[in-house]
Amino acid sequence: MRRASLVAPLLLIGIGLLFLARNVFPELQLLDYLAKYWPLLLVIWGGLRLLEILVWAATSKPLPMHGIASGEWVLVIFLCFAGVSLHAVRGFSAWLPGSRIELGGLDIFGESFDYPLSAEKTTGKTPRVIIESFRGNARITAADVASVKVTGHSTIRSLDQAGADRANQEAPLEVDGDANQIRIQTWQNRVSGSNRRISADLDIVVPKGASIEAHGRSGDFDISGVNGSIDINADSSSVRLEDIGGDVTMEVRGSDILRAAKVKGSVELKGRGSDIDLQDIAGQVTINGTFTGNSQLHNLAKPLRITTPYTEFNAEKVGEMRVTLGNLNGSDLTGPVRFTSSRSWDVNLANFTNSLEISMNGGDINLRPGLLPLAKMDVRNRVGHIELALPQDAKFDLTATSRLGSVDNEFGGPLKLEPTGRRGAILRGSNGGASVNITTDNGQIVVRTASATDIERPPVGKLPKLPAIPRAPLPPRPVEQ
Amino acid sequence: MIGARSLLAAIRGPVLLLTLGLLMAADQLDRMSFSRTWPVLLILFGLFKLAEHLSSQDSQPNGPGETRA
Repeated sequence: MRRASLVAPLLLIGIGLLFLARNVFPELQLLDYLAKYWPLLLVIWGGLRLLEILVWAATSKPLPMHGIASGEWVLVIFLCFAGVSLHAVRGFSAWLPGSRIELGGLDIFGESFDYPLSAEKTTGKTPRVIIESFRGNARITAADVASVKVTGHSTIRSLDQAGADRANQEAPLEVDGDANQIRIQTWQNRVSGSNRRISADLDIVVPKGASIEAHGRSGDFDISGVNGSIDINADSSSVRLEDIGGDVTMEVRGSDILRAAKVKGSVELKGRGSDIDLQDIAGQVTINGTFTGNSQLHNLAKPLRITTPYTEFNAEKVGEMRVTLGNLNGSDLTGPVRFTSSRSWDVNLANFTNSLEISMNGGDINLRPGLLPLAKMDVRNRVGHIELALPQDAKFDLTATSRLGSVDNEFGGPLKLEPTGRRGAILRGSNGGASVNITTDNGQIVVRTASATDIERPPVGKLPKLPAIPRAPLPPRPVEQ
Repeated sequence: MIGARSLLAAIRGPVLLLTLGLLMAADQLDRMSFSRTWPVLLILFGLFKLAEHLSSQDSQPNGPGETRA
């Protein structure tokens, strides 16, 4: 006859004793112990069973087919689930004040522990400040100092104080370097494991002439008053820059907003992200990548180049421009302005000069050149309407062709409709000015006289200011259990 | 005499359970995440299977059940 194992009864007795203890001593935090030490149950279970089988084997008793029967495995799996969720629940906020839920992050459960950070290092007037593998928020300001000073705090999410303490020791703040280069290291990358998460809020004061280089997993940067260059490379980062003296390069794999205002150098944005907000940029602006949110560009003094997988836009100078999904609005553009896209766009341009070239797959185009002499135009659309409002005294050599649609002449004067075949229409006329060619395969073209409202009221009004990057809320103080 | 094969089969479960408990404990104490250490269980299981296979091959010449533990 097969012998029954002694382990299952022993475990039952053990669990019974535990619950009895809980009933007799209610102040005993049994669930806490269970949440923490439940894996030991598995160890004891397996260990006892192993011992039992070895004893049976040594005494030549018949061995069971399987040391742990399938029913027991089911129990083990159940125990694992229960243990993991109990563990998670013990870290859950409602019972322990001081912990919070952070949605969107991996670790929903656990508590926040806070550790102050502070370090300083003397340096020269124009150091290169490098921030390495940083996660959190950094506010960088410049002052008339000859040192780099870092203050702030590190926030560690962990299920208990001991884990947080250990993480804090593993990730000390280090500020090191010489007169030319300062390296700020948080060593956050040393902290790993599914149960811990570390981030820091840093206030960094650098000399005015400093240039900044930052790379990290997800860091939000707020930099102002720095005269050197800014170079940010991050997986996920929102950046706000103001009063920057040098060139700005930002490469991100994800971002809520990249904002730069009052930059004396060039601005280069690369990667993927959402919103872009650029204002008063003295240097060239290059945007290369996919930014799917709202882009606002205001007062760009040098050429603008935007390259996305489907679209290309160039202008020599930009007064005001706003790009949202499928919508491009611009005014006060200095050409040559060039816009090509394999996608559909609604394009609205006012007060542009020099020359304009548009080639796109579909969408409506509304052009109000406004300024004289009239810009040279070459506009090609596959499907969509085109409306062109010309100033009364504009000089042009115009040809407007709709292959399948109609062309309306509301300008009068030198423009005349030419007879075509059964479909389409051509409007042509010249009074000896810039060549204007407008073509759509399928859609209506309207050429009209610009009215007073067209000139006075550009399509892009004063853009609302975007709100500042929200700063992460301060985590609560650690709680003694 | 007890066959090595049946002994291996009998202790396989408890040893795996013990290991699972240790890995879970390591995960709990923030030493090593279980999501990184779980292949240990696979390796262990494979080793057991291999050992059983080898021990049953050894026992072939003597016929099943004749092996010494």
